[in-house]
Amino acid sequence: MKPLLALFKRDISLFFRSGGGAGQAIGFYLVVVILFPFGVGPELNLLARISIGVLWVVLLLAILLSAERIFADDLEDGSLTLLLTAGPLPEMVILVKLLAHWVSIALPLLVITPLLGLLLNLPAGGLWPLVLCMFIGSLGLCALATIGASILVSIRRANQIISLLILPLYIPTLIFGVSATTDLTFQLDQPYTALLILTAISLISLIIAPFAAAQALKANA
Amino acid sequence: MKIDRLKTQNLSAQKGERQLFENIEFELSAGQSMLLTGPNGSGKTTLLHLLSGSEQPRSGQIDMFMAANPTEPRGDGVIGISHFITHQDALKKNLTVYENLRFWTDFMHGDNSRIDTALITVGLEPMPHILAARLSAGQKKRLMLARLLTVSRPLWLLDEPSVSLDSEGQKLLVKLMHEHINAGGIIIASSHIPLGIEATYILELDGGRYMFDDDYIMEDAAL
Amino acid sequence: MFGLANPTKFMRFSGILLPYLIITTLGLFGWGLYMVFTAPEDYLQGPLSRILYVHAPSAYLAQAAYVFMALANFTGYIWRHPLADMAAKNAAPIGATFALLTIITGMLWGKPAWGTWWVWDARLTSVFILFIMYLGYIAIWQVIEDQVKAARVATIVAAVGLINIPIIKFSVEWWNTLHQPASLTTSGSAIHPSMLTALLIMFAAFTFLFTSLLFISIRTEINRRRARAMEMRILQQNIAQTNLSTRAAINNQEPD
Repeated sequence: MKPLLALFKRDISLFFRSGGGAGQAIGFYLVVVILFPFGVGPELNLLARISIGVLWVVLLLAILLSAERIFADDLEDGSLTLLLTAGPLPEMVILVKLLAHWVSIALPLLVITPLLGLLLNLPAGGLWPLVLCMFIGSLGLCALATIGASILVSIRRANQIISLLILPLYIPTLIFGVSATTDLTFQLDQPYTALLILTAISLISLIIAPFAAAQALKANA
Repeated sequence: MKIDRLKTQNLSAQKGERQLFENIEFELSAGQSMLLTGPNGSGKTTLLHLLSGSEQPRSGQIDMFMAANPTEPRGDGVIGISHFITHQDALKKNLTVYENLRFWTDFMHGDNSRIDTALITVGLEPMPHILAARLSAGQKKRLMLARLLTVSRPLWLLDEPSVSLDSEGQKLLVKLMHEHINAGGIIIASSHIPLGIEATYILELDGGRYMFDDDYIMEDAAL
Repeated sequence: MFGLANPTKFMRFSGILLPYLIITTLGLFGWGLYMVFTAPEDYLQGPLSRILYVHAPSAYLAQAAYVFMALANFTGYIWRHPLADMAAKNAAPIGATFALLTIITGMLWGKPAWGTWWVWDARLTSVFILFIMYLGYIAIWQVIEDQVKAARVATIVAAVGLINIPIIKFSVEWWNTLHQPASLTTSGSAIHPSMLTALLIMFAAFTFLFTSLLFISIRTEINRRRARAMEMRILQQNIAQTNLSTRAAINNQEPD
């Protein structure tokens, strides 16, 4: 456990020390969410209707656009070679890096969701379902981002291609994430079905990602 | 963890469509060392990567025999058994000298209590709280060498280890290598200049050939 | 099958087979199109229903090509046959083209049927996502220069994609039923036997078209790689000769 814990702490402290850290992630969310009312108009009913979808898309974009960072720095300074061969199993190392990335990117969003919900006139009672569903969904999204990042690890500035690769994989999470949030918010007739499917998709992604990414990193070596 | 011997069989590697080397076989016992020589692009670094487990050979195998059970090859293969000093420093600019060493020591199951002495040995003890970004190339190399002291690994893989070290630093490197060999370790180093230790073996790699000749594919299909 | 992993054998074998493949493809298309235009019109949709004879086979091939591509990748990954990797690499653009054809015919059908060029219909959306997956896969081969490495990475992309295709289809259908059900089918109208025959012939014609295109594509790639290997060899010989002559010149300069 000690090696993995050391890695987890290192990745998080590196993220928060480099170029703005959490401020950068939160800034991104604020910018996108503030732009929306200007784009679609300030009508509160309309904002309430699209708020859940918008917040999900913002979460998805943030993880998509930061995917490259998961391995890029470690590849650049040669740490990656040692991380994958000198310590614990590569799959475990990847899982820890994935979780550290989640703490750096997704957690800040969950923390400021109440504020963003306020700005977008999120329906009453929608906050907790949203935070819960995003919590579950974002783990799966980070897992898929890790696969994308490992596949293109040796390509510089690969963010656009990573987006192209992961976008199709994100669609199920987006569909069931929004669906689960809506069902729970408005207490529709089977409020937990979508939530269960969302959880299943995230779990499958979390299980597959370390193995797929380990293979991809090996192939890219 | 003590090593008895290291053995490779039939080791071949390729980069893209270029065959780097073929059928490399050697056996090194505890306390022996090997120097890799050859022109640029001949596969010295790749061979070290294969031995570290970070790259897969195209064919062939590498077996480690541990002192505890010298008759059977180690189950985990090469993983977690070596120190690999590459031409990249594996240091984080935003972490201090101490934090960098501490991380690798923890990550590689090393001994935390050796960090202070290791920093003294490599001559970095006045600056443990300086960010690695502010170190010179030679100081970074010394910090990498400190890892060899805090974590005990029987096999050292050193890729051009003397690069960017001053004469003082090179003396230190030679001393560390001598100590490791005397303690029953194995060293495989690549270098185009004399390293200052008497290597047991010298392996010279010469350039490879290009694939996608038809005869190559026939050979491949027969595998 | 593994004997074909040798490019020389493959070139010889495919060279003999290719003319027959092309003739069969053309024949099937001639027969199929004749059937299509003599088959009775769907009484609900009129001549519009004939789009289905192109739309349905290309939708099937777009998916089948992805599965074929993934299987070829696995073969290359496990047995390290360069030819299997090449088959996977070259199947992708063809599959993507069929996906695009499916989307275009869907749009052509959609304008008169739904009154708009694009409807987020479950099947069309799935094919659209499949098309994006093809683009991502093709991009891998483009950006990773080392083709051996690219093949291994592409296998992982194909594998992850293969796992995801059913999940994506399922979720898109779920999403679609939540909002607006609409689909490109002739369901509701009975399929006349001659329509079915025409459809089956078109399926066969498209499959042969895919095979022919794949063979041509792989042959081109082998020729391209051979040309490059030849270039490399000449380059190497030149370098070796230059080295020799430089060495000779240096030796001559030495006093003794």
